[in-house]
Amino acid sequence: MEQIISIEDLSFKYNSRQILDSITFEVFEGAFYGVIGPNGAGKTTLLKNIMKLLTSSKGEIYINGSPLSNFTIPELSQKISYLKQEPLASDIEVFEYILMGRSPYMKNFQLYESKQDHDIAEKYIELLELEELVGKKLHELSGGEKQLVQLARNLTQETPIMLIDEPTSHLDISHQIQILNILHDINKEMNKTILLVLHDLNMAGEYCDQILLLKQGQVYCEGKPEEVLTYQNIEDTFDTWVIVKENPLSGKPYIIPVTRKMKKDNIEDV
Amino acid sequence: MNQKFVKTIIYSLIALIVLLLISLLGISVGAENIPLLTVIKTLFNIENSQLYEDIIINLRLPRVILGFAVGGALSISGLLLQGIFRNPLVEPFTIGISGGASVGISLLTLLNLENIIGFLSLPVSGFLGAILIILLVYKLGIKNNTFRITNILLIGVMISFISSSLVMFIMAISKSKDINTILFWLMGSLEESNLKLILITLFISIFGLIIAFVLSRKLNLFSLGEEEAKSLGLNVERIKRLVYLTASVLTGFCVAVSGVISFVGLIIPHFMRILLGKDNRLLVITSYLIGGAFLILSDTLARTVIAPLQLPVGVITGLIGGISFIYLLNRKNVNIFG
Repeated sequence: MEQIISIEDLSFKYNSRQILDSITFEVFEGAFYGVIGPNGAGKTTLLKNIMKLLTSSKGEIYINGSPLSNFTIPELSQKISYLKQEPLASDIEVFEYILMGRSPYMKNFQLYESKQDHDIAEKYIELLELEELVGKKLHELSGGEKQLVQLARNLTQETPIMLIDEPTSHLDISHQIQILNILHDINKEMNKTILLVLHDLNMAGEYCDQILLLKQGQVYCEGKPEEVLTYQNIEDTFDTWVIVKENPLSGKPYIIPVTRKMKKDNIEDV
Repeated sequence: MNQKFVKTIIYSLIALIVLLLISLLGISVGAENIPLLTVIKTLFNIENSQLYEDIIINLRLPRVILGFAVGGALSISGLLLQGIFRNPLVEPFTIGISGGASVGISLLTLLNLENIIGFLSLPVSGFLGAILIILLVYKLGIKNNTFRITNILLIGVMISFISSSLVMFIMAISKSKDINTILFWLMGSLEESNLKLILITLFISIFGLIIAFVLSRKLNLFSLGEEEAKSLGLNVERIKRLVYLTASVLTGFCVAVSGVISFVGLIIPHFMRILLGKDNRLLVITSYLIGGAFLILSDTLARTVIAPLQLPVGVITGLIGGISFIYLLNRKNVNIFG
């Protein structure tokens, strides 16, 4: 397998605040790669740097071995798609929105999408079973529907790499599982490399092949879920007590946060 | 053929018919009412009456053409700016352009330069004032290679305030004859006797329409926000600058020729959005045509309401525009924001 994203010594400053500090890691082709870390650790900033939405102050990002600066904006958007964290607020129609995923492939003076573009959009609408939503406006959708529609838009972009920023943060547990299952299938069946930021450590442990744990803009550790999601690592980075068990069904690490009340009542047992 | 393309053509044709009808009405109605049939016959050179030919060809037709060119240009400027600013209350004059032009015109009048420069001095100085402000706002708006849209808006509003203070200052120290010139210009009017200038305006206006149409699909992406637009392959920085310059130069030219005609650029894009939805590819051409029709209609009213006296057309557009805008805002289920 080859490295598809390679990040070397990446730093990013916002005004004088250091958000990312000498980050180095690699993502292999076809990986389901999770980025975790406490709020403000720089997870979203990292994704935005890879998407060229922010420009690093130091270091280099390589996509398929070429530095990011070699890619024009349209070229990059044919390689990488980005699903943002904030839910959609626009009131355009669902189908129009999904069709916008074809934008990177349209010529400068091309005003209307081709028949082929329509077919591609329809293919992913069918795949995610969104046929009933296509006529609605984006702001009429529920949180889960919005996330699926956004995902369909990203798939329509047909990029080998997908960056996904907290796809489950506004969703209930069944929609969280639905989205992550779909992402898992996309990753395995279409061989897409997925780099996603997750808040839920259990979900990250369950779904990701590889996890990057960030703390204050630095790489704290990286590895397989069972290597990263240890009691010690989580306490050090999130500054909170947890119990790590093994999920009886999957064998993956399973994390239970320890609340103040639990500590008081059972401190000896822990 | 692409469905949306067909839809654009059909709605544009409807808008064109509206425009033609209103143009005919504009030519026919006035201090001297001319029957529609006579208007058509004269325009196509079937019937020749010297009096009618004078009124129609030399007086009213140029005025209708100017109304079309200015109304259309202001409408698409508004549409473009509302698109990149993602703010429904932006109109071409919000970003200070009219302020610059007003100061230019006022200075010219105060210093009595028109006798030196000649007959085109009013539009030329207005345009220079506008261009100066456009460049100033542009320059102030760029920081760290980013064209900062929100700042542009605030700077523009402030420049409008500063310029209106300057204009008041100039008026305070001017002779009353000069005050009249300045005031009349400020109120906006389509009275322009120079046919060449009218044709140049028409040419520039149509040129602006072509640019706006080419940009229309990209403008759609802007509605998703700059980051998402960029992740979809749009060179956001380049488009913002191109849109700003196109819209402001168009506006600057309109203001220089016909003064401050407010509300056209605000109300027409909204009106068309409520009728036809959010697709800018459909909105550009239709807003242009209907904007032209709206200004011709307003001008016709301005000429006839208290005939033989003429009202400045800005009064009519401001009144109709303002009232219908409040009406639309209060109507249920109309979401013009976002």
